[in-house]
Order: sequence, then C-alpha cells, then structure tokens
Amino acid sequence: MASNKYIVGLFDHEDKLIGAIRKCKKENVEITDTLTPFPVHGLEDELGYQDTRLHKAGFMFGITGTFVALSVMTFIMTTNYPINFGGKPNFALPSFIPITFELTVLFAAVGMVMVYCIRNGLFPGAVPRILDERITDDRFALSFEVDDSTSKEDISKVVNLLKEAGAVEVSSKEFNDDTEIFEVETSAVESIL
Amino acid sequence: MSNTFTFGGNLKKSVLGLAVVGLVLGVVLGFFFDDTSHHSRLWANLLLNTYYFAGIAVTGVFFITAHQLGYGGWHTVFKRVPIAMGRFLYVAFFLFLIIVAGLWLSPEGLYSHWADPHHRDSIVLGKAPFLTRKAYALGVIIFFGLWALFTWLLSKKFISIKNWKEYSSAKKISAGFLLVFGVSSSILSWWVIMSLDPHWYSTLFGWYNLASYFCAGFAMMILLMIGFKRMGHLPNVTEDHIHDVAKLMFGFSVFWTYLMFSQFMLIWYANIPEATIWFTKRFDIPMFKAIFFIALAINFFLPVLAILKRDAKRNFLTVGTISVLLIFGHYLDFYHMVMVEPMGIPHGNHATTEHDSHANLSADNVLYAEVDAGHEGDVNGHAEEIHDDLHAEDEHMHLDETGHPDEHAVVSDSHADEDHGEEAHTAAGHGNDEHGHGEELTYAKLGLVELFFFLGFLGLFLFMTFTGLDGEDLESGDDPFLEESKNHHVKYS
Repeated sequence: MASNKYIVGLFDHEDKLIGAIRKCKKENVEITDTLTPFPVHGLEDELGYQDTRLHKAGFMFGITGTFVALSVMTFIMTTNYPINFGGKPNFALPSFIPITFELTVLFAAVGMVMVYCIRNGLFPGAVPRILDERITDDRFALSFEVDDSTSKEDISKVVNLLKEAGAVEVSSKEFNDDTEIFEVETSAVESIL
Repeated sequence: MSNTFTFGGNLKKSVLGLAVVGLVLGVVLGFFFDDTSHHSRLWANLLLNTYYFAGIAVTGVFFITAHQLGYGGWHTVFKRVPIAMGRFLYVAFFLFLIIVAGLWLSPEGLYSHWADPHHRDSIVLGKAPFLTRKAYALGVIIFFGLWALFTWLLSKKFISIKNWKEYSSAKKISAGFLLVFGVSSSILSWWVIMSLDPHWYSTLFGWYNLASYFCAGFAMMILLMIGFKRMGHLPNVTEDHIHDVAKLMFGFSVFWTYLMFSQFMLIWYANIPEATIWFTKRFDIPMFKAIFFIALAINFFLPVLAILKRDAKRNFLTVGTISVLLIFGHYLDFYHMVMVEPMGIPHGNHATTEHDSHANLSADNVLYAEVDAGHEGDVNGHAEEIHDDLHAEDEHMHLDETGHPDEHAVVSDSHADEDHGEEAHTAAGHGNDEHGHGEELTYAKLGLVELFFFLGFLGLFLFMTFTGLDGEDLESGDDPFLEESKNHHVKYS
C-alpha cells in the first residue's frame, strides 16, 4: 500500500518543471507523479515513461466487438429467426457491415474508457488525492512519496533540489484514508524535517 | 554535407529511361496488341494513367494549400516535395488535350457511348448539355488548366515564403485553389471516368475517386521523402514527419473503403437495375471481380493490419512497402473503373452484336423483354429500322421507356420481342458468334501494355518532380514555420 505522505513542489512555469525533472534524474531521485494544468510538450520523454498500452486494449476490445456483432447477427439471421428481407440471402454480409462497424467502435470506446478509469483509480466511489487545487489552474506539481522509513537526509535532499530548481512552494501533504471525505493536511515542509 | 539536390547522373538517366522506354514500348505494344477496333487499349491506358497520376500530383497541391490555409507548419521542412509533385499537372494538361482531341479524331475509342453524335441513345441525349464533346472539352481544359495554373503559382510563390506578408498572400491563393479544387475534382470525375458508362451514375463517385488518388498521392509523397532522405537530403525530416503523412495515408485508406463500401452497399441493397449494372458488368467478368476484391484487400485490409500500429507508421521500411502496395492497389481500383467500358465487346452496327456486351444482364433482359413484349402486343418492327435507330440502345432503357411508349420505345420493344430468342441464346453462353470470343465479355487485359504505360507515366511523373527540385536546397530557409517544423514531435498520437 502506498504511503499517504507526499512532498510536493509547485512550479509556475513548465520550463522550471522540466529542469527539476532533469535534476531529479541526475540525482537519482524517484518522482512519484507530475501534474500539469495542460499537456507539456516532451514531458513524457523527460520522465522516461513507456508508451501507453491503452491502444492495445482498444484494439482487443474492437476486435471483440467485430466478432460479437458478426456472430450474433449471423446466428440470428440464419439460424435463430431467419426472415426474408427484400429477397436478399439470410447471410447478407454487406448489410451486416455497418452494424459491425458501430459495435466495433462502441466496444473499443467503452472498453478503453473503462480500462483508463480503472488503471488511473477513477472508478466510482474513488477518493481522488488532489495534491493542490492550483494544478488545474497555473501551477505545475512534482510529488515525491515519503513514508516513515524515509531518512531525513533524503527528504532534505528532495526539498533542496526543488528549491534550487525554482519551486515557488514546497510543502508536504498527508492524506487521510480513514474518512470518506477528502481530507488533506498541508504543512510547511520544515515541520517534517 | 551539401544540401543541394542535383538531378543528374544515373538518377536522371534511369528516370528518363523509365519514362521513354515505358511510354514507347507501351504505345507500340498497345498499338499492335489490341483486340478492339478503335485502339481503345491505347486510349484507355492513356486516360487511366493521366488521370491517376494527375490525381497523385494534385494531392501534393492540395496538401500544401490546405496546410497554408490552416496555418499548418509541421510540413515546412519537406514542403518542396509536394509542390514539386504538382508539376506533373503541366503534363497532364497536355495529355488531356490529346484525350479531348481524341473525342473528334476517334470518337469510338474511349467514350463510345456518347462521343459520336450519331450513336447516342435517349439517356445520353437527356444528359446532352453536360455530356457533349464541346462541354467535355471546355470543362476538362478549363479545370486542368486551372490546376496547372495554381501549381505554377504555387511553385513561384510558396517555395520562398520569407515573412508573414508573403504568407498571407500565399494564403489567398490557397483559398482560391481549394475553392476550385472542391468543385472541379468531383465534376472532372463525372466527365472523365463516370461518363465512360453514361447510363450509370453515382453521387458518391467524385469523393470515391478523390479518396482513391489521395491515398496514392500520400503514398507517393512518403516514398519521395524516404527516397530523398536516403540520398542524403532533407536532413530535418524525421520519423515524426513520415508518421504524420502515414496517418493521412492510413486515414484516407479507411475513407476510401467507407465510400467504396457505401456506394456498393446502397446499390446492392436497393437493387435498381440502372444502378446495379455497373457492378454486374464487373462481377460477371472474372478478372474484374478478382481485381475488385484484390483492390479491397490491398487498399483496406493491408493498411489496417500493417500500419494501424503507431510504431509501424514510424518504420520507414514498413511504411515504404505499404506505400508501394497502395500505389499499385489504387491503380487497380482505377483500372476496374476505367477499363470495363472501352475494352468491352464493341457495339457493332449489327443489332445482334450489341446485346452481347450486355449479355451479363441476360437473365434480367429476358425478363424485361418478356414484360415489354406482353405490354406492346404484336407490333412488328422492321429489321432495317431497328438497325438504323438502335446503335447504342441499352436494355434498361426499356424499363425507362415503358411508362412513355413513344415511337422510339415501340421500336425497341418490338426489337426486344423479335430478339428474344437471340437473347436467350446469349444467356446460354454462346456469346458473340461474329467475333468468336465465346463467353468473353471484355478485351481488357492486365498485361505488358498496362505495365509499360504505368512505368512510363511513373518515369514522367518522377522526371517532372525531380526537375522541379533540380539545383535547389530542399529546405526553404526563411520560412516562418521552419523552426516549428524542425521541432515537430508526435511522441503520443
């Protein structure tokens, strides 16, 4: 189980954020998460993220939709309840194609949304851990997970690194999982040092 | 490393050789190995390749103008390549002059249904203001002239855009071209391709054509870009640029499939005789049926399976291979659009022979003939009259005319009555006795003539493209969008 405590550095410009990420990489500090109000060009490269596998899931869902549509329609139209429509054969493949297409898109879209939400912990009832409300406005956040075993040297290393990189604010956050209601304790970083 | 491209040496020799050898052999072989009586194989190959490569060329022009209008900048590092592709339109303009001249010199050669004023049936006459030689000549010359003119403006004004003032003046030209192109691409497809079979029409046809040559155009653009990169030019073109052009190619492949299938399914579902004739003609000839499905496999299933994945679009080898296959696949698509009519068993002056070209509809024809015969009772037509009046009469005309039986219709009905036995005979598969071709419905072949014509036009296309880039730096140095283009990344698509 992940820790509930984070050190959060807030930046007011994406260039400073990128600089901080580069510094972290140099100093071998592991970044837990990065939050930006808009997509920052080249951020994924800097963080060394792998390519998303979401499209693979999408392809699988799509193919499932294709086969479901074709097999169900074939079963219904040829075996289960064959009706003569305008003298066309019961297995009238061209007329199945539009519905097959629609079901492919539907399966792929719904499946991808579900996979995305589950992977990101956004299922219904999930309590979001909002590090700072300004990350949807004008602040870029870097967060570092800490727990009781983290040494004070490591924490001060991170804090100093953030300050050197030009963070406008460095603080620690602690989330309380016991309550359903989102609660966060913000404290000046000095208090945990 | 010098970044100046010089078109010379072995490259020039091989491209020129390809053009000259291909065209000469194509014309010579096509002249001697032609079963049709009016050199239709030459005319049809000329039309097919001119239209196809003009389409590929105009894709480049469209690509540039559309991006110019939308402040697109990512393509700036290679924008000379599409502009140079457009230069084939100069050649296409002159080749279409030849095709237009052919309407008068050899009216039976290509548009045999309507080019000869004496051989028009009432359906063609109903489309007379649009479907006449003069209208065709005027329209085709004006539209291809405009395309060539805009290409000329493009290569003058678009290559060296240095500031925003020049950019916005180029933008106005772009808007003008897109306006012209939006209208003319559809109308030209009706005149040039659809009028080969003037009894049939499809409202999707213009876009279907456009999607087909756009796919081939983007494929050609990718191949040229990869080629220049191999030669050591275009140093700033990265896999990100190829990726985006490949996306366009892929997207238009799916769009082509969508239009092709929509056209097919609506006609198949409604089953109206005058609409289905286009497909029955093709599906009754094994070669064209095979081409139809091979084109579908190459132009849809292959790209979907091979370059749907992001990494495949960034791999030069994969994208290059798919591009070559797509150019071939869309050639096949246009081949089956163009070749069926001019290469069909000819309409002779003899009334019996004309039925053979429609023998594929035989089962329906017999039915109509019976209905018509019952309708008209025992009208006796005179053989001479029939032969004079029914040069290019089509069977589905009976259906159109039954509502208004004028003199013409009476003649055709009686003719159908009289011919009933012969049609059944045709249906039994004895075919054209006069020409001795048995069950064959077409003279069309996919042989050396077609190959040499295609290679010759490819050589001509490459020659025009390369001469446009000769002695130039392939990157436009002062373009305001150059930096953006150099830093183009599509890490996540």
